[in-house]
Amino acid sequence: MTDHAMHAPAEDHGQEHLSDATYIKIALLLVVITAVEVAIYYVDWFHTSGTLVPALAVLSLVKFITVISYYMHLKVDDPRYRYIFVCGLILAGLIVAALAALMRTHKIDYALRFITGA
Amino acid sequence: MAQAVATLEHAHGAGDIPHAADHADHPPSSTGLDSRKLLMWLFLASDCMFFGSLIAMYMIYRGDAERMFLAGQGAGPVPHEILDIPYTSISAFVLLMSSLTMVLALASIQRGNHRGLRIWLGATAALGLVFMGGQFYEFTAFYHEGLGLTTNIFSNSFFVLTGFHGAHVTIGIIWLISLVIVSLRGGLRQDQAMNVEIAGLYWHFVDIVWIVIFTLVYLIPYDDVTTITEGAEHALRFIGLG
Repeated sequence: MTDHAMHAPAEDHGQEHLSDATYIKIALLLVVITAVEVAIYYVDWFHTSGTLVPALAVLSLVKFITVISYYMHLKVDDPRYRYIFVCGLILAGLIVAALAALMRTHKIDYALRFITGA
Repeated sequence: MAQAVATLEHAHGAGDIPHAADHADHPPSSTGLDSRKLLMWLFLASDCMFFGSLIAMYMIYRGDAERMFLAGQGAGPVPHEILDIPYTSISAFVLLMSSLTMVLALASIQRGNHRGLRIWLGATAALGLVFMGGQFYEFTAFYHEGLGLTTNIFSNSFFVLTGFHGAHVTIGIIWLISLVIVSLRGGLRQDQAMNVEIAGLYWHFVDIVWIVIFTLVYLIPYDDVTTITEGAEHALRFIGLG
């Protein structure tokens, strides 16, 4: 028990939580952002001006960060959880980029191979 | 014991003491972190890579399927013909709401409100079931429109990606229902809130994966998908990996 007490200040005791009202406000924000995402999809200007992808990327990034920060408590939790998750995200991004590059630079027509069964 | 509690009070304030009771079942680790929570975060980080690879394959194959469609080749419907944005928007809304009910369930048990815990956990599981019902309906509708798992490369990558996400949701629903049953039997005390928090982390992760899928799979048009994959290739070349 003495060891327990000695290590206590560094231990994981959860985190400070927000009020229910704040969680509901965050949910409303997420719903509004989703509605905006869908709305801009139907606005031709976003398609023709080339701003659709940047706009959708920003909006979904805001949703993503909001959920992990407040609902998953990464904003107030031990930073080591954050480092672990961000490492996973970085590796996932590299995997996406590497697969995209692999499929394109090797000029393999996977579609044709799929159809012909080759 | 009294010395340990006094040290904890000094370090964290009296409000955190209920969490300290977790150590009765789970002794402190050398990292100072809860091992189960650490394991869950490691799992979620690895799951990011899993879904990253599935999303990448979808984006690449979808582009190929659309190109073949434009060239008059290929079989079956292609994304722009079949994806139903308004319908999927409702699914996205349902999953977002389930994240809210999940976090309210955690807040309830941390306050010792077991009735609230069961209500919010039940609501989360119910919303998850609604989402899965929506996905089942979508898959069935696609199948009746001629899009099966092996119809073309778009359908192949689409069903694998969204199917694996659905499998994650299903596991989450089973987990949540299990927690409700355990709580009803009196096996989930206030000082065991970490059990709910870990289930919550998993559930919120399922939600953020859908946030990404909803944008990349449903909202971004084909031409822009091609631009993104080309951009990834250029980025890799820029850093000397392409």
